[in-house]
Amino acid sequence: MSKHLTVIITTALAASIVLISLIAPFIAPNDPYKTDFKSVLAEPNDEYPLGTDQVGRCILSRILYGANVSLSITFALLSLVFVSGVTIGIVSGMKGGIVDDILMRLADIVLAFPDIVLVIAIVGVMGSSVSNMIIGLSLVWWTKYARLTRVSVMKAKGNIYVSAARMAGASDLKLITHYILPNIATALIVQLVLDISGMLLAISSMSFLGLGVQPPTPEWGNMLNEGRSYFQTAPWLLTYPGLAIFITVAVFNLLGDGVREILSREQA
Amino acid sequence: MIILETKDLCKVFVDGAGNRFHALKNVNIYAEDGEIVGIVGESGCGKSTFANVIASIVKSTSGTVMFNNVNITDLNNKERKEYYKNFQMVFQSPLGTFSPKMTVGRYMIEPSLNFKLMDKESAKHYAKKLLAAVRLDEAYMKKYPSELSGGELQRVVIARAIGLKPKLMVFDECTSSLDVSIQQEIVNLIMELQKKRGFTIIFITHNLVLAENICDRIYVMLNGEVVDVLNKGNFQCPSHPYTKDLIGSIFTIQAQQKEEL
Repeated sequence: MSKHLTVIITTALAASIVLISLIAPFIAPNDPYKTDFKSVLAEPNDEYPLGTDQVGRCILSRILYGANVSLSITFALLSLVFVSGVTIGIVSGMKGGIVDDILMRLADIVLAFPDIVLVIAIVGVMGSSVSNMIIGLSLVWWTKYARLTRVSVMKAKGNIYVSAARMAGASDLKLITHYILPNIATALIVQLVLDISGMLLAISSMSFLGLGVQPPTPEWGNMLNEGRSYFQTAPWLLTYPGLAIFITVAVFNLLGDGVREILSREQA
Repeated sequence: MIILETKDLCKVFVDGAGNRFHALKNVNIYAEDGEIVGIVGESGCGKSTFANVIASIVKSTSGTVMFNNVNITDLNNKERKEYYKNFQMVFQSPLGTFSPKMTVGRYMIEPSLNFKLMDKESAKHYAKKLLAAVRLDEAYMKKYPSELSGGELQRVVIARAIGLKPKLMVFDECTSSLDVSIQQEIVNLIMELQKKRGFTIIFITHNLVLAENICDRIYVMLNGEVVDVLNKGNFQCPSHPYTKDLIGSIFTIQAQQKEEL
């Protein structure tokens, strides 16, 4: 019961973060791009609740708009790698043989590098922009889902119900959609929810390094980067975007843990 | 008319270290139309491998399997699907035969839809009729496999299998994981359905007494070989020492019981 309660609370928190990011344009007190040279690096006050940055932009508004940017890229990327990774994993697990070998050796090559370093290298070669960051991250991230799916498919394939399904005339596609996918979905969904925070952090890190979302577009990572030099004189430039990342990552991590707890218990 | 015949069927399993295990050695078994053929033997004697080979789940190493005078030793996916219209198998583990995430109703209508025999509504109607034939009511359609007992699950499996009107059905230790009283019910049900529908049965079991009760002919297997064939009427005249042991073991238990009384 208490576990369910934690999940309900974290789900509510996660939902409110997503909601805030969606209605950011309506609740932001100021235009996130408008510079106000009369109040550069202003401390939090009535007009700018969380202060302003080095060119006098409202930090709160930038954080709210940044939530929109960070989360939409996160979810878009996750859906992309989830669909492609799961598809590759299914093909690999079902076909076996040479197809499996080729796909998994490709995955091994990618996994041989520390992932964020490989993304930096890819974006470094192609030039820094949001689309290149998405390409880089998805080239690295699909391996997780491909391998997890492949192993689950191979395990599920050995079950008697698969032979029984064949005996009922199920084609390969039917076998995957009706028998194998429903039985491996739990593991995949848990992994997906657990990955939200990881992906958000990866995007923020890339933007912090200047390889992702480019200024002046507000994004938590690049806000941190821009505020770096004012750490001692105007700490609110760093504190609030940092807190935003911290809270969001913590909430989605807790959500992932809760979902795993409940779904794995259900499966047992 | 002979419906199924195997000629010198061999199956060799090779493990990672290169060790060879002969699961089937020159197995020659046949079944005539409408017959009930028993295959009896201890665990690991190759009974289930034999079932999996004739079910086209496992490929044989050498030898041929003829079904209705058609060679079915090496089938592609399409031919195998066609074969399954006439061949159905009931597995040992009742729960393992079901995907945990699929309701009994969905399980029952799968063949009708996959073989494009009827639309969804009539498939559901047909499924209910089949469940009634194995004495389960409509309420089972909405249940998940984990909510049913082993005996009920095995009834559902049998119901789906007979729905396709197969010519040959293989029962691979289908009663072994059930209670003794339920075993009897399931065997009676199988016999009743066989009388009504006239399909051929290959009944695989380790229980010689059970096989003697229902089979027209019994093959005794040991270490992958058929060592003895017992025909109806002279089940008590074994030729191979292993069969003598098997039959002997039944009688000693009965003899001892009498002495105790």
